[in-house]
Amino acid sequence: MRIKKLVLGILLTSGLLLSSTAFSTSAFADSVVVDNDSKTYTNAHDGSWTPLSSGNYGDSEIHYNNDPNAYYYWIFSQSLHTGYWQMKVYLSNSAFTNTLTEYDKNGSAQFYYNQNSAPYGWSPTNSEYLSTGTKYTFAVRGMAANDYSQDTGADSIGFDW
Amino acid sequence: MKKNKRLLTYLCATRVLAGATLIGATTVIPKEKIEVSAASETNSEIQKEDIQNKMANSIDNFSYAKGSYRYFAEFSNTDYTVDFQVRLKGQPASYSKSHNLKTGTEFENKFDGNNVMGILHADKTYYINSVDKENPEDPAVKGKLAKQRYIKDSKGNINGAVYRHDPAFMGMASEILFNQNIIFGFLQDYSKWDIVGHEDYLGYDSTVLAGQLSEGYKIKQGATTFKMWVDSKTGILLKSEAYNENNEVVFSITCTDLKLNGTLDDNKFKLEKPVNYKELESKPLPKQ
Repeated sequence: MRIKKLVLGILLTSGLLLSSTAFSTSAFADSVVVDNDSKTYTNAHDGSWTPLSSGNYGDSEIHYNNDPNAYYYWIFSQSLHTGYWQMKVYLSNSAFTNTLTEYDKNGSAQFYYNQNSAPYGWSPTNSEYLSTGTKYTFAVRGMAANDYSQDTGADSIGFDW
Repeated sequence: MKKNKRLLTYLCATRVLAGATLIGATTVIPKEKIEVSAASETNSEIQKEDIQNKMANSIDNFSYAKGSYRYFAEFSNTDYTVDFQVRLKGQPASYSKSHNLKTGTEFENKFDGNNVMGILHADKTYYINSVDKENPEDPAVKGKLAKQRYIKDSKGNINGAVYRHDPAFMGMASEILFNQNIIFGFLQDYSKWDIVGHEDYLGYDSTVLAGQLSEGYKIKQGATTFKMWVDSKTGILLKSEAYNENNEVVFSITCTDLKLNGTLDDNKFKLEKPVNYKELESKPLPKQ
């Protein structure tokens, strides 16, 4: 039986580490992670998505063959900050090969992302403006329609503040 | 002194790799182009930062771009060419057309400043989607140096980076013009790569970088080292190759034509519905 996962993880971390680093990086204070197959929040999909037994929190979803009509959705809200969050995606399977995926927020395109060249693990994507208490529907779909053999992955998405 | 020692160690290792026997190899790192003298003169922290900063903010360094490139990924059997044109000045817009070298299928992708459009020639369909104009670029990110955009987790490990918003929704054109995945993924750790020289590439003075990749790329693409050619003036990625442990190219992006700030065909940005093609209608959002 597949182990169900924690869907939303809110990690509170200290910003004190910043002063001890060689680089002028920013240490994020808060992080929101919304997994696929969520218990706390809502996931949905259009088209035929197949569960995989690997990924963040133990699993992920894949859509075999490119199909711009096949969306995977993450639906959530957060109560921490209003402003720009840095969005990231977790992709940990060599089967996620789609060179052009589109990520949407509430039905509008936010950015394109190349899952083919993404490394294993978390990858940053785009800054997203999120308001507290507002429910957002993020989605991914494959768009690399020059190659129908390219597969699209959906695992966790995350937001760092 | 310590830095020079490390550099010499890296260059020696690279020379060994370049001399390895290859089975079915397509390309090797040309060892004659990696010279200690050239590298040691160009590997200060400041020079590395300078080229990474140019790449991280390349969209500030040109107004119009037109060109072509080839994308190859062995692990996914991906091999296609892309023709593109991008307008950043005034109303941002983009157009790209990819041609699959294995199947011959083609795909066009456009952005006219308001909506994105995809045309799937293989099955004669197209779609149009709106773009979220309520989510412009975070003003705090624009022009920020690359190192200032890395973010860390609670243990102090670099765990990501703040990406800039792509104003022209370049899609596939971003692989050459504004490839933030490579800028922040390949070049995160300055101790893992060096500037190994300068070469003319398509008439552009390119800064040549070479180094080692993180474990994430080895797992996903089977790549352990890389070499890339970056336009020294704009930060545009002219060519990138990633190699496996046998020094074979397993991933590459190769610009074959690039013209900056010249004339573009504005008609290509227009979202004209192709005749006799069926529109893929937008799906309603799922119930919450």
